[in-house]
Amino acid sequence: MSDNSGTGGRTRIIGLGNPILGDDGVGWRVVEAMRARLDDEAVDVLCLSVGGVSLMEQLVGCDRALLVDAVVTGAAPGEVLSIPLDELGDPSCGHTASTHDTTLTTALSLGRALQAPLPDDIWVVGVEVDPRRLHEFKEALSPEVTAAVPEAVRRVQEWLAGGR
Amino acid sequence: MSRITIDPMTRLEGHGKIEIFLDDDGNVVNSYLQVPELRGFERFCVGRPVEEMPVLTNRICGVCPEAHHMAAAKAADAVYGVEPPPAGRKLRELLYSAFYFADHTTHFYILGGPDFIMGPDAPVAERNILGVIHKVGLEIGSKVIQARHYGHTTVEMIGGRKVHPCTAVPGGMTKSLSETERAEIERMGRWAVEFAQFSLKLFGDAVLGNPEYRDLILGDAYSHRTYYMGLVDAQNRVNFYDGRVSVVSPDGERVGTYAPHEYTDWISERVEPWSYLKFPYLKKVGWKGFVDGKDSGIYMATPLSRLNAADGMATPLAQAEYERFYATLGGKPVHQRLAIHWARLVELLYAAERWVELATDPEITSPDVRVVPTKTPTEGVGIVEAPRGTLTHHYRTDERGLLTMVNLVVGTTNNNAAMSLSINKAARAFIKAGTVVKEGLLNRVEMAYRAYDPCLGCATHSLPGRIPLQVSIRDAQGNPIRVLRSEDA
Repeated sequence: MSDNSGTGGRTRIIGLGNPILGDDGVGWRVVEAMRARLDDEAVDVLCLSVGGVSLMEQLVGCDRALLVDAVVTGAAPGEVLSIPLDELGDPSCGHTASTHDTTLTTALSLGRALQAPLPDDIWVVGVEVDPRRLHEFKEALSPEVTAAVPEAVRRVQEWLAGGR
Repeated sequence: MSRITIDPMTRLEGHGKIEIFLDDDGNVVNSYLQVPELRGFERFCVGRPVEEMPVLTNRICGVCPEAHHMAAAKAADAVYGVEPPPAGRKLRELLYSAFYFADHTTHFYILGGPDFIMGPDAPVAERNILGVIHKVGLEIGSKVIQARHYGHTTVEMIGGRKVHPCTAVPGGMTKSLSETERAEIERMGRWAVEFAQFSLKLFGDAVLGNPEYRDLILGDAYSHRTYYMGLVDAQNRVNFYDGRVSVVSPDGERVGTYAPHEYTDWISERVEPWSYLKFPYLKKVGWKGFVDGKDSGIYMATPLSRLNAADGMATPLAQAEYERFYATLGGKPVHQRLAIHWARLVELLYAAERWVELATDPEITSPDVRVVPTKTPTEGVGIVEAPRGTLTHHYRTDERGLLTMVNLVVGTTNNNAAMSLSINKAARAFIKAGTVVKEGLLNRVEMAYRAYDPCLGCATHSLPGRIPLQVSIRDAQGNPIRVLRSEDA
């Protein structure tokens, strides 16, 4: 399999979501806040609105990867979770799937079957959002989700620090 | 009345789902695909400069940003009354051909194709790309990834960045192509032609060579006599990027063609109380409800529609496949919806051939890629063929170029009524009194809409594709009597 990873930094942080769909854009906000504080060439930061195979392709060549996304688990909006991707469950990983694609889990299995160099350590920092607020185009986050950004950034830093 | 719901388990509650309503005898009364709509896009855009639209609209969803980028750039050209120079126009079409190639590849191998290659009754766990590589060989997986890589690399070289291109602006493109880049794009395009031919051969062997699948494609369960729509060039051949929209009747007669700015003379939108998504129909024929036939204004806009609405393909290898397609399926137009998958592969080959044609065009490396707009902006419509249907962007601005009105008719929305017809018909054929509802049957109902390659991302948020389904069967009082999950099947 060819290297589709672009720059292929050792550690990659990816904010997922749609930046013009209200709280769905929280992943971007968190990693943008993170990017401003980062001074480490071995860590690269991307903002993407993709899932499935496209997302898997962005993980090729990384040693470890962190996905930051809006999640809906039933918790209160603004709650932050930080767990390995494996523990999140296949269908619930938010914007990491689309009807035109397959789930990230299937895509990762595909990549591994093709012996693509994919990281074993894929972590998720998720910010709980209210799904009823994801149907309106706007750039602003809701107050609860805005308030959760610093905590999500802290969890991203914690993951970064724990891995080295 | 009983009610069966095929509800994709997404993180968004009440997202896209199929509702099948049964009568007391267990027969299908009606079926609908229901999706909530994303609201407020027009309000979000009004007041912004029109030149932001090519970048802004490609954020509507992550599946076909290139299509929105192009439709928006063309609408913005029209707003400023400016025509891009030949190299600018050709670069846009080259980017778009490479995008089409990657997109159609993804659909065939990852979303729609596994139903055929693995069989509609194969367990869900196998009916995916992993099952395909297990059955056909690991090499196929590598090729699919390579195909996507080449498509995306070409988009990035011309479009300035991955996934969400940003170089098409009113009047043309912001950057030209170097000879080094051109040569690399040509090399990838030639590989793409071979891959498309390989894909058509695989389809021929695995699908057309199998009597069961052939019957499924040719059978009545997935057939509707509707109108068809697609962009055509001056010779009435399929074109993805530019031209007039051709409309043909269920008998195959061309009703007419329209220029982008005439779209409101041709298309009206029906609103139904049970769905946020509108149902576009042909204004000249009229809305007659969810029925097919010549008197019903329901139309389809898909790869099959584009082939039906055109007189042929503009490249030689694709033209030969076009002829084989109609010879095999009994002439034009073809009404069987599952033939959309085959039509998509004919288009895959056309996209690859067009990619090479444009990459070897002597004008493609010209530095003259933009005409700077000087006229006062007013109003404009841009139309391209998105992979899943005709995509229309319509903008109006004030004299400073600030948007005052935005209207989009997106690819999948065109097919909303036609998809409802297909789901209903498939449900009636496969779910009958006494029939035990099992996953294989429900998958056939899903296949009815999957063929359309619905991307609800424009009208809704992204929706997981190959994911577990939950099916609730309710009795006449609406109480759930049985819950099936596809992974248990």
